[in-house]
Amino acid sequence: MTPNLPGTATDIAAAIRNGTTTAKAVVQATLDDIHQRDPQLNCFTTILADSSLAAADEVDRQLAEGQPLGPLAGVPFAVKNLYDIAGTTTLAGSKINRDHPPATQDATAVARLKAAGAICIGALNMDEYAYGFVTINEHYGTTPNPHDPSRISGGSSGGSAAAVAAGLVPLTLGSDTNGSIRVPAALCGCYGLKPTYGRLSRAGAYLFSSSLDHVGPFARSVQDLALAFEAMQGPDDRDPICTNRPLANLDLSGNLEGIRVAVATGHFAKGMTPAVAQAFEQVTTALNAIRTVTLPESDRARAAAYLITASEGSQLHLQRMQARLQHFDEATRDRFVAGALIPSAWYLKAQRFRRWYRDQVRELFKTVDLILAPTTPCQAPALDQTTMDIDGESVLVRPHLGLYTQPLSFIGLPVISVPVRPNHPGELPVGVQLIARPYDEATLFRAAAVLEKTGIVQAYGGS
Amino acid sequence: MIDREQVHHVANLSRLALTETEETELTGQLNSILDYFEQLSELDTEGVEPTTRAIDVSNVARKDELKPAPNREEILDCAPERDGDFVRVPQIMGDS
Repeated sequence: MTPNLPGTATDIAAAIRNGTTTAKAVVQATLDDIHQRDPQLNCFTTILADSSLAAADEVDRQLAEGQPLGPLAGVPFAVKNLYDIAGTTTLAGSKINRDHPPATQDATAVARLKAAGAICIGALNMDEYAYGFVTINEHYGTTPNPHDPSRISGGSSGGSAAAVAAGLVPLTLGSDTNGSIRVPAALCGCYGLKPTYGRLSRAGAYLFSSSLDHVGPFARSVQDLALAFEAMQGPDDRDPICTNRPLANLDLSGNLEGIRVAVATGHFAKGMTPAVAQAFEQVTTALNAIRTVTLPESDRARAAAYLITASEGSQLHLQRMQARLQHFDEATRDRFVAGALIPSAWYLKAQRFRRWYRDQVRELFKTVDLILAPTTPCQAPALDQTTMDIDGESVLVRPHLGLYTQPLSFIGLPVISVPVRPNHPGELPVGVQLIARPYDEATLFRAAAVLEKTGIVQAYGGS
Repeated sequence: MIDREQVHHVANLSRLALTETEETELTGQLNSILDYFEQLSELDTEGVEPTTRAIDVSNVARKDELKPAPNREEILDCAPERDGDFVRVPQIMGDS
């Protein structure tokens, strides 16, 4: 945590409002802490010292004048560097995009957090063009796991998860196509929300695979995650995909009465390490999940998600590949090129399967309200680790990290990854996915609040 | 099975300049992707309409309906440049 600052956005906002501290002091302490610790943590690719201090002065002035303040007034936040921040070039983790002019306006998600009073401190590292689960970036370096620098933070929103987990800022934004919010949240031990597809506006966020991309927040408490989500939800003329359905109405009182909870079996019950299985069982026991459900053909859902992601991502970047292939990160180059060569019939097949799978899962939600599954099959692997043994079988680490996340984002279900509190000091974090039917984020928050109250889930390294 | 010749051909169609080594590496990768496709082929989804998004989103554009315009001048005024009753457009053919 940043020295002398409360650990959560809620507490920081309260301390500013009641005069215990000022927004200026909060932002200055945050900048000093980033200056001191980020050279090792390597979360930030851009630090906005001047504009954040000016925004802090404005909050303090409003408070002094008795003007109404937003719920996040004075709270520092930072965003994955694929979000537009007015006046800053949107890198999307790439070298090529450095040549782009600065963004002329904030992404809607950034603008809405600012409208709630939050202060943007900077932009965060990621896998190039969001294609990866590791945040090992040829151009901007590796963002290691803040709890063990010899291990990965996960990705592609690794900078966003690590910055929250290390306590550099209490709130960040990331994006999730196949697991890029949930995987790093799990490996770094913080909360990560991937809302329903289309729930939050993606305007001003640099896309990867449009039919699968979601945006969402990371936080150290359920209350903070809720504050960020509530500040960002709502229709947006700038994004035709953003829903105009009624806003989710959140209840964090810790009441799960009437919610039918089930454990995902089949695909989601295979291939995990004993440490993950043990942490998962703690959560299923705490929520009294005695039912089970099987999401059919979820292994095929992964295959289809891969085909759609590779095809759409490669089409998006085709011109850049034709002109500047050598400037792509070596880690993404081959996959983008391979995606460009995929026949359209394969892409169509995956799209047909997506409807079939979605309809099957929709039926399941007639009998249950909340489904539980692990987030990742293992704790954070070592930076140079390429394979791991699971159930006596050697598997590739990087693609395997999305084993349990890909089939869910594939059909746009809302998911919170909650951090399970480790049983022993020094143990690495484990995440569990809370999964609900489309647009039912409210059930996710109810369950997350219950788990947080029991103490079974807690941001890693928190008190 | 996909071979290097096929990779070379499709890469050419996509205007991607690859070395022979890259083409060979990509042949292996595309065969792995072919495995994914074959996994999907084992399930009959022929009659299923393809999805365009993770969740269906209703079309935000209005219906494309043909109807008479009430005001001719209003339409002509929408043009970036007009010349009397005509819309001026950039020249696209040569003089000769």
